[in-house]
Amino acid sequence: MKLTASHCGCSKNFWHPSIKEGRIEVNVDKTYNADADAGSWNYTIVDGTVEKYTHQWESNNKWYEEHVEYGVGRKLYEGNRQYSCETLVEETKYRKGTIMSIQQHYEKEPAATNMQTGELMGKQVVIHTTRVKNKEQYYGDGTWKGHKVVYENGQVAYEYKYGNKQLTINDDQGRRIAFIKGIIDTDGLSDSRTIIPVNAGWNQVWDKDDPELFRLRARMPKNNWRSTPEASDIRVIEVTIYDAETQRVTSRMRKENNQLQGEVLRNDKYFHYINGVAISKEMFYAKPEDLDCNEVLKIPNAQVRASFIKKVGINRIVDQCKATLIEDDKENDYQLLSIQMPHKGGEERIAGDTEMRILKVVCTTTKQVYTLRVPPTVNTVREARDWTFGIGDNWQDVLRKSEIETLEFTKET
Amino acid sequence: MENSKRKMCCFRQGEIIIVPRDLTNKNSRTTNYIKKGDGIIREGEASGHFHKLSGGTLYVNPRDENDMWLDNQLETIELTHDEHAPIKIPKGAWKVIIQREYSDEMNTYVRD
Repeated sequence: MKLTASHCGCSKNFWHPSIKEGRIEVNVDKTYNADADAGSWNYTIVDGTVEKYTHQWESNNKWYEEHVEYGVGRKLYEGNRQYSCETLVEETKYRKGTIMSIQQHYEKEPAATNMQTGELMGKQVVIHTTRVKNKEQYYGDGTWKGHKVVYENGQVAYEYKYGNKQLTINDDQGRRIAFIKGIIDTDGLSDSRTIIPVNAGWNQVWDKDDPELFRLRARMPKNNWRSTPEASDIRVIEVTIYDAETQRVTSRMRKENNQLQGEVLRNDKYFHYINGVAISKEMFYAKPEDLDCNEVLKIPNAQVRASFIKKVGINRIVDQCKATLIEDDKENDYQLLSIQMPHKGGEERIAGDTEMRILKVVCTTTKQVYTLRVPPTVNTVREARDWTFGIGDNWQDVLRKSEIETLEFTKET
Repeated sequence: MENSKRKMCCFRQGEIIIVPRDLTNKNSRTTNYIKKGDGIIREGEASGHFHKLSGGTLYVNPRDENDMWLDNQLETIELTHDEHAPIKIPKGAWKVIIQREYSDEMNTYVRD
């Protein structure tokens, strides 16, 4: 099988749970992406889950090999391609089910990426255009007010009217095939269509393989943000898909602010999300007190880290890590925290700093709490914040601290 | 020297910061940069959502995908993302900065 990935990293864009057993090999070369490091991945899949993988790549004239076996550990070698990789650069041990092992799994596991962009609907609900008799458009006050789609046999596929916050779609036998529920505060929005259903001309999605089909796509309205979102602006959409014959629910998802949330059912398989991040079932249902706060802060991906911070709670992290508050900028919702790094020795390698400084920030749009690690030399929130934006006096800094006082944002979202 | 320091007006969408190009590090050379036709500044590893420009020309350093600048000849263009409000960017040459994070081994760019 040959897989082609576009618009994304080489490990994305394919869905491995459909491959129950076997190996997947992914090769990257410069003909696909001139910027990419040439290399390859070899995944071993057992019972629909990646059990282990090997990743080889070349970067800056060095050759690397990474071996990961979930529940066992990770080894990273560096060397010369000609003589194979002999130098062990890093060895990480982790127990199965710990956050760090999930992190490794998450970063490299291709399954985690396919569902992120909300294609749940697109793959499952189709209406045959050849069976559609007509589509009535409603207008009023010079604007579009809705439409009704009727099959040739007179059955109504759906009727959508301006302002509706839920919609049932039937097949040509009158059987329910999908239910969409959207909740949004429309006050002040320039485009208040809460649901944009099938074949609204500007939103139909043609099936590449069968031009007579168009897919149902329910999505959040675009371009209708407020400049200062309130809690009530958090946009929620829920989609349920039924098997027409049995009326059994085969897929169900909930999106908040375009991020998948909670337990997601897709083709009878369950997946688990926090703020758009796919995590394992074990992690999803784990009690916050069972998760190691130090591990949470070490998760490299900021979005994954923020999701676990949400699960564990920032206050609990501050308490468990014995963080001390250096500065609290209440006006802008920033905090600069200091955490003493324990030297455990042995298995866990902690290099360099004995202190970790963390800038706690709150996303202005989603209100999600993020943490960013900053150098231990910064002493104020402003200094820490500016450092993350590239202001400093080292040679690689984008903006010179000696020339730039601070950054003031014309707009920040 | 203190008086010569400037407050820079710029834009921010998540981990993406847009600042006037002429105020950035003067040593940076951009002659070998290549056009990035899709206008996508960054794609989230976890979410799959991306920061995308509606127009202008995005240039990227072939040796460092995080080193970009934007040439906008239009009145305004829009930077969009599924989870953030869109931002209108005026005409001009802009430096694209990815927010960074400290590590005692090597600083990294914020990934979402």
